[in-house]
Parts: sequence; structure tokens; C-alpha cells
Amino acid sequence: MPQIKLQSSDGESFEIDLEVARQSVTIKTMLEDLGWDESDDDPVPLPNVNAAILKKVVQWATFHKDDPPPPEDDENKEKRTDDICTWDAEFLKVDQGTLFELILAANYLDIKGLLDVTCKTVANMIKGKSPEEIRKTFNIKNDFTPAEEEQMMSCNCSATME
Amino acid sequence: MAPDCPEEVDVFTVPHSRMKELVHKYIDMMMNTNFSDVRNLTNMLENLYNTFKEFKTHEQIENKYIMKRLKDKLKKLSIKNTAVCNCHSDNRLTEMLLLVKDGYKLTRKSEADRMNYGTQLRKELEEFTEKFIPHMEEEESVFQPLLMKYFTFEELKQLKNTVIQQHVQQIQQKTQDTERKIILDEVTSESDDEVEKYKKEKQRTNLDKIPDEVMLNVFQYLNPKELITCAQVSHHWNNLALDGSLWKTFCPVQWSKGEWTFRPNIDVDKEEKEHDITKKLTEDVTVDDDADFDETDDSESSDDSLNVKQIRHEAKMLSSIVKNLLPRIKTSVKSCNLAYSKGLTNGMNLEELDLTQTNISDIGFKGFGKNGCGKKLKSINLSGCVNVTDVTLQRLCSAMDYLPYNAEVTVVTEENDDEKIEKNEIESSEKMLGKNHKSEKIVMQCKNVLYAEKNQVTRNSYDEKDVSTSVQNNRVTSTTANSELDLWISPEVVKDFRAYAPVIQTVRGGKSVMKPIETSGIHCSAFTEKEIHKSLQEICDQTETKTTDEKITEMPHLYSVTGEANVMFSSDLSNYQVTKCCKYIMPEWTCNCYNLCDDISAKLTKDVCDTSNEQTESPPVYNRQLEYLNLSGCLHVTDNGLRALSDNGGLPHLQHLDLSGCFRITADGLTELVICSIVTIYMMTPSQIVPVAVKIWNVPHDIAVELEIKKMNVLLKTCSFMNS
Repeated sequence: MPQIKLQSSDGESFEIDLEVARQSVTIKTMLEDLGWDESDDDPVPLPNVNAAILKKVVQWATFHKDDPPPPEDDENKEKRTDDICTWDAEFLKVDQGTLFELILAANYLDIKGLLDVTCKTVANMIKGKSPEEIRKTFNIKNDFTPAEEEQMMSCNCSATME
Repeated sequence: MAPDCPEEVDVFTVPHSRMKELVHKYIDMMMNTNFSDVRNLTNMLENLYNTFKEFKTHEQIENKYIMKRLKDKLKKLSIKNTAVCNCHSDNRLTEMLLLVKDGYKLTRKSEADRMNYGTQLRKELEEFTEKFIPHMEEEESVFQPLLMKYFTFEELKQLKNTVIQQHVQQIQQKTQDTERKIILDEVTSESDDEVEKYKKEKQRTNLDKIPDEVMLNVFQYLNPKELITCAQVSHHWNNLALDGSLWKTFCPVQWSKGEWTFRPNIDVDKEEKEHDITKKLTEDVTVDDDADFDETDDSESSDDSLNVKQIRHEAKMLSSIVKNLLPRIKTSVKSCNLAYSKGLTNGMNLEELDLTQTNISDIGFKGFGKNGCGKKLKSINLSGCVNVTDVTLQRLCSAMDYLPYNAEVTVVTEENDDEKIEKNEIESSEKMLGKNHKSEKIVMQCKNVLYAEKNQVTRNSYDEKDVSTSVQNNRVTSTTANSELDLWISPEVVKDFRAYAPVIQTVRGGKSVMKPIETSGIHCSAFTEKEIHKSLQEICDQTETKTTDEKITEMPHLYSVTGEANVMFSSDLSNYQVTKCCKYIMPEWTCNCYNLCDDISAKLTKDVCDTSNEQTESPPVYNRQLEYLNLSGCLHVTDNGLRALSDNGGLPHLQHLDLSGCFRITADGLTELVICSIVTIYMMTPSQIVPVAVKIWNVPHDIAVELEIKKMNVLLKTCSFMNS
């Protein structure tokens, strides 16, 4: 199977199967645009992904290399977050920083499957929490003025009450 | 220091030397603090905090033990001294303490923020020092002499001891003061945490780095309720969570029921269940214009009251959603689903339905109009709703035609036994009038009723004056005779019905009901629907108490003529009641039904006669109020949909119809509707409109009569517009 070299932002090279790499639309397009062929030995530079994250991405892409292409977004279909497969769930048991970096990498490399599953994981971190709990979870500063908060409370209490 | 002051009685100098020491210390500290370094900053803040606490304690002691005594003494001696009064009222210690506390929060902020804070703190400290040092000097130079003047040597010596003792005590206490220690501990440990957290933050990627479009990707997995929660997290999240792309479908009705999903619920079982509930509710709940609940049956079961609560909740939530959420997302809402809305189905007041440029489809109209909420629809705008098909039009029609329990709305032409008016006579006069102008028909009918009551008005006189006179005459009679009469009169017959309001009121007092009909924009405010409703209720209640035989004579007479003629049976509120009434009518009194929409008036007049003769059931009277219908761009609407509109009496009040872009509509479908009602037609292609016009112009005389000149003019105008 043809191999391809990827180079992380910190200069580390990864040699992976071409099929695995082609899950990234960014890499796929890059190779097509560059007219890459097997004899080519130059590594593909990925200046936005560091070695640690690239390693994880490759790990994910290798596991999912035989997956059918992810279905196109259907507006009418309910978005679920409880359909993360066990392997992915285990794979994403990482600290928040890593999770966010994986999202950034998936976004940059345009790997829809990985982006979806990481976003779902973040969504699950939001679900069922109060605004204050969300702030605490993601270390977000509450930049509402007390007046704004008051107004929001009066607006939302009737909208959100069960 | 006051120059001529023996040390033993100098109450200020000792504590002041400590305070001055502290001042020098913090000035030093400020010089050496690197605000960009969190650890350094935290240490400095901690020291500053302790320093200002000590300052505060010192001032408190001075106030309590020295100044108060001095003031008391001066008061006793009736000496006024402005310096004493003004002193100590102004110190900025509390402010400074707050500023220092603020500093702790900065440990998690950016370096620039901390540098800014440093500059601010330095400035504030300088200002403070500038005042604090002179303040101490003032105490020594002004108050010490005063003290010496008014206090004895021994008193001052004792005072000094107390003051020093207090200072020492406070300092000792400070170390033991558990409360303060806890506060300080909290502050310091918190800041330690903050520092560590900050260091960690610096290394790791946090949420801020995630681009907005990716955050939206995350948010698309959240339901509306969760999005509303997210909107309360921060300004940034507020913008993201209320981003239009997330709110393309808008289903406030099911949200209000706690079904927080963007997908319209199309559970059939549920529909059935809801239907039963709403059906029950119509009997129990009356909703007014504001969807406030003013009339609920006291004896309703707990099950019903639960539903009432649900409806109330829905109404409240809907208004909240519309007020607060919708303005933020309205431009993006592409699909609005109001199916199964209990508030709507019970509201009965929906007059305007604007779903322009929405993705609403037939499903959205499923169940719409249950319990008659569509009966008052005056304006429907579905322009650009490409998903709408004929099914929607059919559903809208059935919503407009809604009749509870499928009751046939009935018009009772009842002969009053007392008056001995022969039914055949009435019928024959109607036959005779079949081809005459409608208003004459009304007059005739009114006269028939009046005649039946009074036997005074000659049947052959049809002018309005007579009718008015009859009405007035009738008032007298009906009031005195205590007869039951329902009279529905159009403003066309009695030009200014308001003038007759008292008349009618009186008539009602005589257990008769007269109702001016709302038509063609003439609104008779004299009668509210509630009043009518109530009257009917009364009549029905009375009827129920009588035996079957007696009921016949007690029955209200309900007259209805629909259509251009402008006299119509206002079915909105009272269908149910009428049905109830009719239950008590003996079979031989079978109600006759008039449907005198102008399109089929001739035919119907015949029908009426036929049915009167045969005394069989007649087609129901519908009362569509629709004045405005915009279907532009509804590509899927066909002639079949229009047929639904022209069936059952058409749309007698329609004034504006926009069918532009409905290329599947042909002249055939249009003609039917046009013959029924159309007043103004906008923007149709010549291929659609011209055959209609031609057809209408070519129609034989008898159909042409059906069309009023006004309509033809409009058609002509439209044609010429098309041609040019």
C-alpha cells in the first residue's frame, strides 16, 4: 500500500497509508493539487498540527479507515450525541486542551468524522448544565453586567421553565 | 509632631510611627513589583491588603477612643470646632481595600490587564499617600493641642495607654482572628489556584481558540432549551447560541410542551389523543383575544384543569418566545410549526397567518383549525412557501369551515303558530324573489320574520324603511309578547345599526336575540359575540327545562344568509349552541338551511325551496371570513386546491388574491373561484387570466348576472394591465 509522509508543525514526520491520509479532505486536495505520486518522497507539511495531536489524529484515522463516508448533513434529521461509538468514546477520554486541539486539527485537516465526534463530545459536556456550570467547565468569564443578567433571567425563566 | 508635647500624653505619635513605617514599606513594594508576574503581584496584593486592614483598624481606634471623646468633651463645653467635625469623615481606606481585592481577580487575566491595573494601583496609592501623611500630621498638630487644652494630663496619659493597648490587641487579634484569617486564606488559596490554573491555561488550548464556525458545529447538537442556556453563559456564547443557522425550524408549540426538539412531532397516536383533549376543552374553556383565560368551567374535572394549565403555560411560553427569542432569530426561521397548538386551537381568534418565505409544509397545517381556530382567518399569506400543496389549502378550508361535531349549521325558518303564517307563502315569495337583488331578499326575509311576529308589515313592501319600522314594531311586540326571536340583520338593511342598539337590547330583554352582522368592514359594536353567546346559552338553558312540546314555540329563530348579500349567520361562536338548540326541535320542524352565497344563489334559492318543501336536511352554511390570500410562489398549488376554496360557498369576502408564480393553476380552477368571490386578482399570467375573463364575458346572461359590475371591472383592469 502506498505510503505518505506527513510532517507536524514541530518537525516530526509520520509515515502513514495513503488511504488513511485521504480521510482528510485537506490532505487529499493538497495531494491532488500538487500532482503527488508514489515516487514522491517529500513530506506533506502540516504547519497547524503538532506531533502529539497529529499522532492522535493518525490513530483515529487508522481505526476508521474502512468506515463508509459520513452521510451528508440532513437538515431534517435530528442531531444526536448519544451515538458515539465505544472506541471513539475511549479515544476521546482526554483533557479539555487535547480535545480542543483535536477539534482544531479535525477542522483544519477537514476530517468530518473526527470533527463530528469531537463536537458531539463537547456538546455532551454542555448538555444538562446550568450557565454557571458551563462557565466553570470551560473556564469562561461571565461578562454580562448584573443588569443584563437580570433581564435575561426575567426573559428566560418563562421560556425555559418546564 | 506637636512641638510642645510631653511624651506621656502624646496619643498619636506612637501608632503613627507604625503607620508611617507601613507607608514607606508599600511605597517600596510598589517600586519593586513586577505586575506582569502573577506570583509577584499576588504577594504584593497580600501585603497591601494587610497594610490597609491595619490602617483601617488604626483609624477605627482613633475614632473610637480619641475623636469621640474629644467631640463629647467639646459638646459638653459647647465649643464648636469645625476641624473636629470634618476630620475623619473622609478617608479612602475602604476604597483602597476594594481596589486591592480587585487585583486578585486579575491573576487570571492577561498580562496587559495586569499592567494596566498596576498603573492604576500606583496612581491610587500615590493619591492615598498624599492625603494620608498630612492627615496624620494634622492629627498631631491640630488635635493633640486640642486634647491638651481640654483634657487633664492624667486623662490623656490614660487615653494614650488605652490607644496603644488597643493597637497591640488588634495586632494580636489579627493573628488569632479566625474569621479574617479565613478570608485571607481564602483569598490567598484562591489566588494560588488561580495562578496554577493560569499557568495551565497558558499551555493548553482553551475554548477561545475554537473558531466560531466550529462552535456552531458543536451547538447544532444542542436542543433549543440547551441553546437558551448557552446564550446565558457569556456575550460571545449568546451570539453563537442565537445564531440564525441553528434556528431554522421553529416549533414553539411543542417546545412549550417540553418537547425540546427542532423536529416537528408527527406522532399520529399523539394527534388522536390531543384531538380528544382539545375537543373536551372547547366545551370548558373560552379564550379571549389575548389568550388569557377568563372563563373556565368551575366544575371541570382535574384532568381538564390540568389541560387548562397546559394551555395557559403554552400561551405564556409562546408569548415569551415570540417576545424574546423570535426577534433574535426571525430572519433565519425557515420552518415554523404550530401543529397541535392547544392555545391556537382554542383561541378561535387567529385572524392573520403570515408564513411568508417559510418552509412550512402540509404537515404544519395538520390539526390546524381544530375547534374552530381558523374560522376567523382573514388573512393568509403563504407567499414563497414552496412546500405548500393543495392539501394545505384543503386543511385551511376545513379550518375555516370548522363545525363542531360536524353539525349542520341550520337556519330556522319557523312559522309562528300564533301568527299563522303559512310556510308555503314564505317559500313562494322567496321563489319569486330568486332573481332579484340580494338585499331585497334579506329585506324579504326580515319581513317574513317580522311578519310572522307582528303580522303588520305587508309582504310586498321591500324598502329599508319598512324593515326598520318593523324592527321597532317588533321590539314592542317581542318585549311584551315575550316571544322568542333571533333576528340577524345586516347593516345594509338597517344602515346604521348602532342606532338600533337600544332597540336590540330591548328585544334581547324580551328573550329575543337580534344580531347585526359583521360584514364588508361595517362592524356593529353594539353586540359582542359574548353577548350573543350568552343569550343563546340562556335560550338553550330555558329550552332544556321545558318539555318537548313546549320547546317548539320557545325556539329561537335563527336566520342566516351568507355571501355578498351581507347578511349571514355568524357561525363563529354559536354553531355549537345552535346545534344544541336544534336538538330540541321536533322532526317536523326540521331546520331549513339557507346558503345564499352569490355564486350559487339561484341554485341555492331553489335548494332552499326544495328542502323546505321536503323538510330534509340542507347543506351547511359556511362562513369564510378570508379577505386576503397570498399564494405567490406556492408552486405546488393546483386547481384542486382552488376548488377547495371555491367549494362550500367560496370566499365571499375575499378582496385580494395573489397567485403569481402559481403556474399550475389554470383558467378552469380560477374561473370557479372568481365566479364565487374574487374582487381583486393580482399578478397572474395572461394565459391564466384572459380565459377567465373571456369565459366570464361569454357566459350566458344568467351567470353574468351573478357577477357584479365591480368584479368585471377589476377583471377588465387586470386584463388590460396584462395586455400592456
